[in-house]
Amino acid sequence: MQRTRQGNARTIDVVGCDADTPPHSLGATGVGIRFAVGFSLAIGLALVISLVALDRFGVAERTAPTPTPPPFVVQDSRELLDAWNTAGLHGVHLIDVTRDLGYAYPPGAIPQSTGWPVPHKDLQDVFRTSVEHRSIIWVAAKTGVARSVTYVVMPTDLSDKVSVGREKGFPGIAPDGSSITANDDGYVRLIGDRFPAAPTGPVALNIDASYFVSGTPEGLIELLDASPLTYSFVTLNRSTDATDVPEAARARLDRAAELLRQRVPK
Amino acid sequence: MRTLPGKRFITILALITVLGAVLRIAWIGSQPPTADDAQVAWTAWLYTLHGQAWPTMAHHPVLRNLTVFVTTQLFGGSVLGVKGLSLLFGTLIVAVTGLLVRRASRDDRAGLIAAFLVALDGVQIVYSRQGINDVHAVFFAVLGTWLTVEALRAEDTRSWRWFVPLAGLSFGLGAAEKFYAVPLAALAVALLLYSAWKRRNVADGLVAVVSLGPLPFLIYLLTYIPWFGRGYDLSEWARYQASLVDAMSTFSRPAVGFRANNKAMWWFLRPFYGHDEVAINASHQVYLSVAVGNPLVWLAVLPALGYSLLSAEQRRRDTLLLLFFSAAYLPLVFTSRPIWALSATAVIPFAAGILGSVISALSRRFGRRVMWAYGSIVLVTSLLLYPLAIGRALDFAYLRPIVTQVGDYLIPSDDTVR
Repeated sequence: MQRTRQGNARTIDVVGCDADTPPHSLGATGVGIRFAVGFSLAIGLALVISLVALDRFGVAERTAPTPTPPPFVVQDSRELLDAWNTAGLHGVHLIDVTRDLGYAYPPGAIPQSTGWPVPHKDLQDVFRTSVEHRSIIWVAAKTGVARSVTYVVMPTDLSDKVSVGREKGFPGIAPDGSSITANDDGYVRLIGDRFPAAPTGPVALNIDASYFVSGTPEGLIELLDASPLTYSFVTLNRSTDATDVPEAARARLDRAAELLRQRVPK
Repeated sequence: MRTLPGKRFITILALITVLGAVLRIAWIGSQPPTADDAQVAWTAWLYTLHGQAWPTMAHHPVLRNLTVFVTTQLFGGSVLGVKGLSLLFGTLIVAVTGLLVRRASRDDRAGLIAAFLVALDGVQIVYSRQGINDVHAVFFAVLGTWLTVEALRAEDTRSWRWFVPLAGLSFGLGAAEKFYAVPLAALAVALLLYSAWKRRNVADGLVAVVSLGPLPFLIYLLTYIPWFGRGYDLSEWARYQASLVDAMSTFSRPAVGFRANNKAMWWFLRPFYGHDEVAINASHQVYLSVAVGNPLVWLAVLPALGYSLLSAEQRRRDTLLLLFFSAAYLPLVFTSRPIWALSATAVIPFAAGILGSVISALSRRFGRRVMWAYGSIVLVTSLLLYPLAIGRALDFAYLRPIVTQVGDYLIPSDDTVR
């Protein structure tokens, strides 16, 4: 692998320097130790500063109302999104108590362009105006309301989702079927039947009427009491825009709202 | 060989680069935007303003969103705004390949032949005319490789102060576009460390490690500033990166219209093993581009590789090219996820390098006529295949056998005009 340059005792690798490298530059010069140390310190310092600054910048961007307002009942997904936006929620961890995951694209989320120029669009405006029950959590994620999501579903609903997921070969299903981790291009949502350990930063709670198709208000309150979490914003969505949610479920949601108001906040 | 390229080399390389530019830019305005082209613009705006890398290529790194945001601020949603950087980087790949191969093989002629092959390559042309960022990543990766080779050829000189950090900067920008640059950067740091180790030069080794480790990482990290604006902290960023890699490695949704032709191992074994890109204008007219290589070039890659490996003299001369070709190609061959022809953009400069070096060596042995004859045939056939690269694949009857390789575009449907 090595050859010797004629007239010079120095050996040159095939990956090594050229024959016409100026002779005066050969031999123990290189970048020099002072440059190497200075360069390394500069890059190391820039990296540390960037890491700390980005971490602090991110944390500072999380916003939620203080003090926590009382639970807020909305009629449908559009009202829910308005409530989150009016309250100034941004970058929160959202816990969605539900049966329906609400993570489909809203209609028209990806516009078409058949010619030049491509029209300027802020897609967040498109998402907000076309939000519906089947896309509400997706829109919350894509408009910056929720930086992460945990779903709490009834155990029966969870086992249904696990069965469907296994049938379709979806990844992320725990071997014991106790949870599903859904990875949407890096945006990870956790689906389970209990409340998570305390996430960092402000936490918003949304309770969807679809949960009460099989769940009960009392059962939910028990789950909430057993959880150490505190919430910056609590909403209850009657989901009148969901045709497969029966009125009985909405009545149970209303009852849950009453119980929540009576509940002593943590 | 001379450290600096001569005037003759620079002139010919410039002419080849101009040829590459013409082939990439010609009739670009008549090609309507593909779905990806439009989404590149919308993703750039959504990411830069709100930290959301969606709708296109959300599982890839994010630098394209920032750079295309700048170009769309300058030129709006026009061809130049959306595809300007692809046209620029796709053209510059031609020149940088020439410079890289010249230095790696210590042969001007090899560099010029490699640049010529890249200039004419159909896959390079197709993706230089698309808004998506494969050629952006490839440009930075090839640039970083060239700077690494320059550093290796200038051991023990102060040039390392520039070449090595600039190589790290290039690899960082490349990795922030797509991960094609990562295996090349890993090989680069190994070679630079080997160079420093054999010279017992701690300072050079330290600069190599910092330049190709923390420096590219810093660049990559900074491209996520808009993402942090969504409220994430550093630990969440680390988890997000792991989730992205998971999403990237399991990405298997079929490309529009066609599932097959997704194994990199067949690129240099089968003729016309390509990928389709479709644009439809307001009149429902289909503009089909087919990204396929010229078989006279692509099918010559493995024989050239074999010659280079088997001939001791050629192997010594091509060592760096062989190593970088392996780093660019083998990860794509051995990955379990589908790999389409667009990823060949990352391999072709190195494949062309080996071909260029072998052809140059053969031309010295058998006379220049060999080189001129091969170059002429490649030029003519590439021009015959050129309509495939510019959205005109359906306009020429003689190209139909190639079109049928990539999809059912010749079966009439009601809602499109062919």
